[in-house]
Amino acid sequence: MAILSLAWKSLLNRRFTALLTLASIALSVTLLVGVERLRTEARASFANTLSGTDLIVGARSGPVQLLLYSVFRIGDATNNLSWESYQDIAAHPKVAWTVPISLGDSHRGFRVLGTTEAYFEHYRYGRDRRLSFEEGQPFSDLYDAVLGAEVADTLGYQIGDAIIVAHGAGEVSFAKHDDKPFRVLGILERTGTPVDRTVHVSLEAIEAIHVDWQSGAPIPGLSISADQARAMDLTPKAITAFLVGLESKIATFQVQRFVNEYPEEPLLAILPGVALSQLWDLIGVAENVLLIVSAFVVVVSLFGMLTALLTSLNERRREMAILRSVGARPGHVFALIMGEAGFLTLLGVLSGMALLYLALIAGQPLIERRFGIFVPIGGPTPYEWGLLGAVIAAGFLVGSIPSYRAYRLSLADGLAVRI
Amino acid sequence: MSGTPLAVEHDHEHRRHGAHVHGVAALNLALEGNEVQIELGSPAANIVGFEHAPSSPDDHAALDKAVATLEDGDTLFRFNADAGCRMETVTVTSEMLDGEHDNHDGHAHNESEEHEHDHAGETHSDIEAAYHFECEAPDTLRRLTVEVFEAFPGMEEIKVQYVIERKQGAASLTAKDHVVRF
Repeated sequence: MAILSLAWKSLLNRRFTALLTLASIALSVTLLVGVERLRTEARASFANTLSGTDLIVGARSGPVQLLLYSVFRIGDATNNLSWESYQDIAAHPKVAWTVPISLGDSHRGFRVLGTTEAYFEHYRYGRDRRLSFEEGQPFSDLYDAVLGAEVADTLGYQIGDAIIVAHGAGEVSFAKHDDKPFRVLGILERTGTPVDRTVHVSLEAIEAIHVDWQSGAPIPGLSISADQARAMDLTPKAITAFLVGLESKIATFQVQRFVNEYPEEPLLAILPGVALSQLWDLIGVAENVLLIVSAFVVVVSLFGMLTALLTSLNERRREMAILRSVGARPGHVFALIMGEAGFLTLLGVLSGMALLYLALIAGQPLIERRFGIFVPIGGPTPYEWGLLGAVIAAGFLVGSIPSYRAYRLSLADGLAVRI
Repeated sequence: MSGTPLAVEHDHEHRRHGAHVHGVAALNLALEGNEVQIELGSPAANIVGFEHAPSSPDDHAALDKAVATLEDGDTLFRFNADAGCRMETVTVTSEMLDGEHDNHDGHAHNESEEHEHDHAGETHSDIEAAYHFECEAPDTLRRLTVEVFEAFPGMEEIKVQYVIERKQGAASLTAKDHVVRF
């Protein structure tokens, strides 16, 4: 026991370097486990960009492309699908609900999405969360618009403001539907999904602003006013895609086949969860890079510990000699240094985890609000335990180097230290 | 153009071709309540080694053997044991099986002609198997070990799509890595 108290006092004597070593191990562990946790949650949150939707149907292209334009509003559809096909598939007995989507216009760089009230009712993200309104309500009039949180924030819109929709998806568009302005009726709460960057209007409104247009330009001489358009038949002829919810999950593949083999029009039905995981496989390389970088930070911090221990050995040769003189064997010297390395590593891991939990508790609401990623505060997962175990093992391994050196030195020096 | 009467029911069948890649099969799995539905669709070449209508006794024997293997769903698909999943029903379908009985009644001449024709590589046949499993503890379903590669060495890759309650996912299986983790 005396040796432990001596070791402790020796460590206290070098407390400044010891604390720095401890801090670097703790911070690197916080980083490693924090990155691991965020990356798992980012992946889960990405997979939950759209939840509760069983199938997405669009014109035949690739699954990832359909997902990109229908959910992420990236790129454009190769083709639209006809309203009749949509009606046919929506009438399939296994289909519980559908949400039509019509894209193609924009407002100051944000995509305009034409849809129905079903969107607000059935769209789910995250762990089965519905869209909710920060202010206002779903559109009721033809020229009402509902803004995503980011649209409202960036452009500073309030309920009741008028907005003009531009033709096409570009940031700067010269063709504007300025004869039919929209009124902001609702602003959605932030979701951390592409919904935040979307302006929602009704399908009929998309039809109405295009009644006097042809081939991307207003028809010369023909001008139908906003009020005249109200009286017209505004059933769309085509939509871009639609979301499908099914009566039973077991029918998923049956309905998917029904759509993919639909004879009247070449269509594609995808499982959003499957397409999302395919997409993540494409872009998810970055998450691995992050983890590798943080693993290297841990390695660097352990090297820091190695350096500190090795430098201290020279200062401590006299200490070792004294220990030897009072009966410590070379094995004891080895255990002493090893114990110090192990103690620093263990304490570093513990305080690193404590720091991580403090950061999570403090940052959780912020991360959720800003990025829509909910990071649950639970015990370490088996994988995290594995990481922590690896850090501790590496700590002991690194510790064995100075320990062995001290062991050799104490054998060679014996009681006589020539410094 | 859509909805025109041009697209008569059986007309499109001839014009549209799904992907047919030898060595690659598709597996769909859906779970709801305690029912698991599995569909395996594969080019016949992966399973019996040929895709023409069976003509020789050897062909028939090979096909019968393949169907028997396919029908043994409890061996081909092993869920983690605590889920307690048992196969209830299975159906194996293929255009190659449709001709089974006709082969014996006097069409021998035509068959052999067709046979040569097929060797020119013009015919592609698929085999589909649909399984229905019931599980005692569907909540504990975590793993599906697919032993199809063992049974059919012609199989190189299986593309899996699954729907388990609210979760959808995909996996790609090979002989080395033939376990789906949900």
